[in-house]
Amino acid sequence: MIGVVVPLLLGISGLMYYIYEKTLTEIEEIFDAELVQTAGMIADLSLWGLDNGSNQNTVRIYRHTLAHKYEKHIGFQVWKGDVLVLHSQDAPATPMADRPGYSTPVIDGKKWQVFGLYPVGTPFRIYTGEDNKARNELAEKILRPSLNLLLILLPLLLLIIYFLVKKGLSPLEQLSQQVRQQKATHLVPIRNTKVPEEVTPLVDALNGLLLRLDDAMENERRFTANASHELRTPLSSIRLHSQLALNAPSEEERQKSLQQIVQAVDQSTHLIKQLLVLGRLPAEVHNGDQRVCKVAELCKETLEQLQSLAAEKKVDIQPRGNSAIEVKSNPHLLSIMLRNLLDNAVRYSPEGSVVQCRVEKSGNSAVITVEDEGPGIPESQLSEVRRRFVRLAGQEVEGCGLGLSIVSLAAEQLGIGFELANRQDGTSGLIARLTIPLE
Amino acid sequence: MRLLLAEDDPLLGEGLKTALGREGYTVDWLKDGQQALQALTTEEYVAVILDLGLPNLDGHQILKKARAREVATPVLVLTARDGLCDKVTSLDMGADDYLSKPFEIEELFARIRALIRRSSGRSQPSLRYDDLLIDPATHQVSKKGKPVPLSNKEFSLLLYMLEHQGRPLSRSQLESQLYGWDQEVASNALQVHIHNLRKKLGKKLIKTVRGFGYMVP
Repeated sequence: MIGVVVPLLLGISGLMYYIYEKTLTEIEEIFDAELVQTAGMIADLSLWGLDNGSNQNTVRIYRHTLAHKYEKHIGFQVWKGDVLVLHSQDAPATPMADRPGYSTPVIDGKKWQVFGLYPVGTPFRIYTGEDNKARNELAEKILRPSLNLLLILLPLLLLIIYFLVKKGLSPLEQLSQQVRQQKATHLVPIRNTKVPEEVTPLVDALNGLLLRLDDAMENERRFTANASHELRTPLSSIRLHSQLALNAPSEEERQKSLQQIVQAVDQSTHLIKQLLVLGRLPAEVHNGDQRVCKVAELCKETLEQLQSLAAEKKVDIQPRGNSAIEVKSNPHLLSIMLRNLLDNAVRYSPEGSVVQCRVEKSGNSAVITVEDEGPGIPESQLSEVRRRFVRLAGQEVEGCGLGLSIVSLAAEQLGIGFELANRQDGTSGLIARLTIPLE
Repeated sequence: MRLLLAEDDPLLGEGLKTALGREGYTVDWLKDGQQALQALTTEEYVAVILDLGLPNLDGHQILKKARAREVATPVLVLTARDGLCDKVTSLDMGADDYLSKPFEIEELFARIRALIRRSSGRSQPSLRYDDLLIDPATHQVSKKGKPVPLSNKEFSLLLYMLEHQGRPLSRSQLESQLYGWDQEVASNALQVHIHNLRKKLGKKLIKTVRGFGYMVP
């Protein structure tokens, strides 16, 4: 509102000042021209009479009875040498000016505009003049009505502007009202059919953002609910087995319960670790460094971390492939993905089987393949297992159902392709494939 | 007293089975929803402990299908989700009680006792038969005011027979209440328990139904 009114007021004031100045100049020019004309007329009409007159020292005063109130503000003098031969009623006794042409002398404390005419070949000096008061009054009288009109119109104009702006902004006010009313727990698209056309793209963009936000919030809510749900089960186990250990009828049973407690604690630790990985993924992708790393080396490092588990399960992990392949990616996330895939492969492999980890170059991509001899995943559930906390039925293998969703999410965020398939070569088993684009 | 435990978490299932076993219950533990429904509709249980998040068929589906097939066994729902909606849905789908994880094992025992008591139409927590007084909560049995020590199996058998007082119970029915699927049962085990109960509580308590089984008249 202020942004509209202040420039407007400044503009109008400037305009008024300009009109005033311009009018004043024009009026002065007319008056100046009049002075010249009057002086000329006096010269034409009167000088010959004055010159031809017998008494050269007679002072004639131009008199009349129909005086006008402005008359004392205008005057003329005709001098012949040092003698004032003709002058208007209220003209001063001394010469009004001392030179021909325009001058602005001060007479009786008032500023006058005087025009002097010295007709060539005569002893006469003719002065016509006006004091500025008359001019200013006149200019004021001419300007006053229009200025007054402006002064009346201005508040009216402001009022109109105020209402127009208010009316124009009311859809925006409604819009902000709706935005203010949004609850973080329940974001709904803004329904506003009355917004001006110019604002529609903003509303659309805002709605898009709200939808995406709501989706993200819903995802987080589900994640938190699932996380707490998943933690309650191992907690129940710990509690239950502790009570069983406390009331165990034999030392053997106490030992068994205590071992179960250790297992349940391990299970929860694993779950919490995975939850943290999952929770930190977006930030890690956002802040993590991208650098050139050798894929085969990453695989090797990951395999070393899994050696003890593999040895325990008597599973042989065989790394293969091109050790020179380099990709530009986030090495930390890549190794998290690899660890989850290899960990799964080892856990689900039967004793004495082989897990293969191959690194190859295929077209413009580096491809990492992890292949096991486990039971595989029913075709119908291949996509489902990527979701959080999904575990397949009838599994004896411990896990929290987060591994594949971590890989899936990380792959998505890093622009890496992630496929799961069952082996088609006669043996059962799962093939997990990461496709990393090369630059 | 045979219970069906449907819980997919190996550690929790193991613990529950052990704890309930020590309470004298025979526990059939299943980890798969489909199998749990199958067992619930074909076998006889005094109560069911049902986890909601089962693979293949979730707890709500099991409840719905079992109740549609007129299975009247009392069901206690055990779940990690504690939303109001979950509780309401469970109860409306035919569950009789609800317990959220993590839970106090004593509370689970008490709730199961209450379920069994209500399903046999009793309001009194303790059972009275002739000069016998049986307290399911403390497992104490007294005859004419004097306590009679009973083994877990004996107590369980006595309680089950008293809950079904006046009905002849077949041998296989009684055996299945005493022993789970995974237990080896000696062919005369039931006879031995019946014999011991008669010895401790009086011959007239349990009547033999020839060629069929036993009953408490």
